[in-house]
Amino acid sequence: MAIAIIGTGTTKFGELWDKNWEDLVVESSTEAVKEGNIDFKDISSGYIGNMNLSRFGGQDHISPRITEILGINRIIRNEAACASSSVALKLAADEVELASFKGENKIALVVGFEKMSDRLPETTTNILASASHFDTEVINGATFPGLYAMLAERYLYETGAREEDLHAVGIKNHKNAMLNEKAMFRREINLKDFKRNIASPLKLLDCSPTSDGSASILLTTEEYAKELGVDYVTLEGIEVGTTSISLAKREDLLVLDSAKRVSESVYKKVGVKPEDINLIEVHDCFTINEILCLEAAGFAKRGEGYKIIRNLLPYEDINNRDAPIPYLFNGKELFVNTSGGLKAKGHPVGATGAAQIVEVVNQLLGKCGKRNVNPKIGATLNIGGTGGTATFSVLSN
Amino acid sequence: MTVTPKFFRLNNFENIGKRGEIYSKTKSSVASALFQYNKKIPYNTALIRSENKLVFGLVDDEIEIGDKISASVGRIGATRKGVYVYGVVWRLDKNFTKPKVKESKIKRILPKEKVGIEGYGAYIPRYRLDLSTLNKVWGKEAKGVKSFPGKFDDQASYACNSSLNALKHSGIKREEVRFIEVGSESKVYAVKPTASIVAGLLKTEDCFAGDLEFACKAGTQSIVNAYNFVKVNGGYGLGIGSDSAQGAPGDELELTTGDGSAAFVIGSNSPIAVIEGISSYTTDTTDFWRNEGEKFPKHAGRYSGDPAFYKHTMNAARNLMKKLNLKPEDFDYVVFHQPNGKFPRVVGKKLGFTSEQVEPGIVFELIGNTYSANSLIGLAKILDISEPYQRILIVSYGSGAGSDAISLVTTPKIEEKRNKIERSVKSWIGEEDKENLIISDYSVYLKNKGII
Repeated sequence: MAIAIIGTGTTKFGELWDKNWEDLVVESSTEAVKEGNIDFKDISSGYIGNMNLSRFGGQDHISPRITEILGINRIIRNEAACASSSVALKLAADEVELASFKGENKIALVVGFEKMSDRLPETTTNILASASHFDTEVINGATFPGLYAMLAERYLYETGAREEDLHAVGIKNHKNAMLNEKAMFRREINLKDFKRNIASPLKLLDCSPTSDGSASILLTTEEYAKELGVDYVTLEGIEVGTTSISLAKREDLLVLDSAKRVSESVYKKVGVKPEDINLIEVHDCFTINEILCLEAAGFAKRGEGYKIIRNLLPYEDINNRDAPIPYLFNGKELFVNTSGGLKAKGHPVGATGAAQIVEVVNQLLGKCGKRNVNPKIGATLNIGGTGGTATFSVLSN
Repeated sequence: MTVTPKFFRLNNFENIGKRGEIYSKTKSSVASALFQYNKKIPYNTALIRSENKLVFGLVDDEIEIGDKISASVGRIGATRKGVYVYGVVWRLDKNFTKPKVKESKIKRILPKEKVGIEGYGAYIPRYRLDLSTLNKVWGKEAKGVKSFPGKFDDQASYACNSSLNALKHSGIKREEVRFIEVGSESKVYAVKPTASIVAGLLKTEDCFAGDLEFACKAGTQSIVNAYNFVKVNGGYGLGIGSDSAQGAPGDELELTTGDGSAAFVIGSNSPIAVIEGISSYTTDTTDFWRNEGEKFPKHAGRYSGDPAFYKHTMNAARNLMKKLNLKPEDFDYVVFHQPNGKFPRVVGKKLGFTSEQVEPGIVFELIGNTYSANSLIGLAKILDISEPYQRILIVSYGSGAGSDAISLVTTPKIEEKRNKIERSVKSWIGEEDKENLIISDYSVYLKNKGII
């Protein structure tokens, strides 16, 4: 039984000073429900992806608070750091699928959100750092830029990639975001802009921003989607995997092993290969991670992902090209992060996994306007923390 | 069972003493709110390959992949309520040299005493302030160097590190220590003993522990107290001197105050030097003092000389020599407290010692006056070069005022245990590589010292 995504919604991502988190949840979920041509009361379960409202906004026990807002009386909140809402989607899809075995058609709503801009930067850094190993990493001064910087440092040391290869990812994603009106940064950047050090070798522009935003997904069975008569996209496969939270405990520092494992499992289940994918939204929280994600999702061998980035050479000319800018994979165009990715679209951590799905769904439905790349098969790779959690999905229409 | 709140049990000592190699690293310019309590940014963190495993850690140096480093204790932060968090700080294994023995023809007779020094260790931070930088700021005619803290150093981390070095040298297990006393006038807490932090590091709970203050002589007094404890109760004791010496900006003391620690394991199992006698001399003399709640000590200038340092040092030394029926020529080496370069040399001459006996114990010119640790570091330096059957006199001085004198005779064990010393005191104080350590930036000093 296939799962159908019948509606999506997303707020603009950015520093949304005039909105609180409830506004964001209502905005994205209402858009999804409207697209699905149903009412909130038709929804059997709501799955919330949120990392840390308790410290960003002082509220724990989120589920009944959202019942109070949306009127859905079965809400389950899930936390998996930056993968919170993709894991929520997996839970929702499982519920819909399980019910379908009994002949029931359930509608489930996934809402991912984070309101991060209300805290001072060092507090936000501290809250985000809690997605790494608190007692060994955080207590010794780890921050997320610092942890990914160590991945980047080792990657550059082992592979022959250069800092410019990392920067090229950011330049490309900023260019793509120019066509996305929901994106946080809609401006071009150049190699010479990569100046301010955040955590060597990562510069400020190698890092995704802290953002506010929400994204929602409405799903049901394919059978019921047809009955509703709405446009839908099929969620062909989705899988979640976890590995050690500490970087130090990974078998191979440069392999996102949870991501590798779940992507292989989904490819096998769906019966597709990396070369069948036209578009993938990957987790470029830091530019190095777009490369590591491409390797984990089977587009390159370990340590060779940067060669895909080098398709974009000369990097000085990236901004002269028309967005969205593809890479080449097996001689075919491969679009990565047409939305602008986390880097330029923004990274409200709890919303990111859902937002990746929203982009791929809208691309498959041809609803992305100028940035539409007309894919047949799309995929998402969402990462929690430094790869402790990974969700991979394949979608098609 | 009482459950301690998490922030009070964060001391994270499990990798202390390990060696490793940098696998990956970064220098962060942003810090989390948790780490910003001490404003120690930017800072280096690394993934370190140690014993075939990767570990994550803070590094107090500029590093490259492949650099060899070792883990010692450092203060890595503090909680909102001001509880200091100690943990592992990795430092480059640089400029380590082994002790070199100075040959001697004279063999002293070993006394019947059984209790003495089982092992010793020093710890001195790597940084040296170029004192000529004070000329620009304060118009002082200063030259030379003194030690000051790195980003993660403080009086308690010094005590922990010198204790670990001492235990490694002694060959006894950490949990065998039954007595710990830290002599200091720069305790990190006004209430909560540094000795408890050392005990936590050593995981020894069946233990008497406490801190002791008597200006610069609390270190020798801790050795005396450990000695007395061991004589009555047996087992092993730790006497430690540790200070991050305070001198107010612009004050004369700023030209001399240094940082460092030395620790001595006292026992009767296989001492490298037995204690053959002790003596002390105390009067109510207010030559240097710090009022409760004040940050910096005050002093009475020239009054520190004759009625204070000289009087007490000479009386304690003479009393002990009289008690043991010894003359200056019966000693191979003598160490005095070194508040400056002049006092120890002059008092040696006054007492009838030669410069051959005095000079080997002088550390002042390379690290400054490390208060309670000062004469102890000098003693450790002498033990590094001593052969068996040599007699050493140590005379401390603490303002307030008093002096402790201790006479020691080395045993053949000093030869046997020497190979366990990983780094000589000469190397710690920077006698061989001082050029690498000098920082000519007063603001770095002020920041690391916690003054700004």
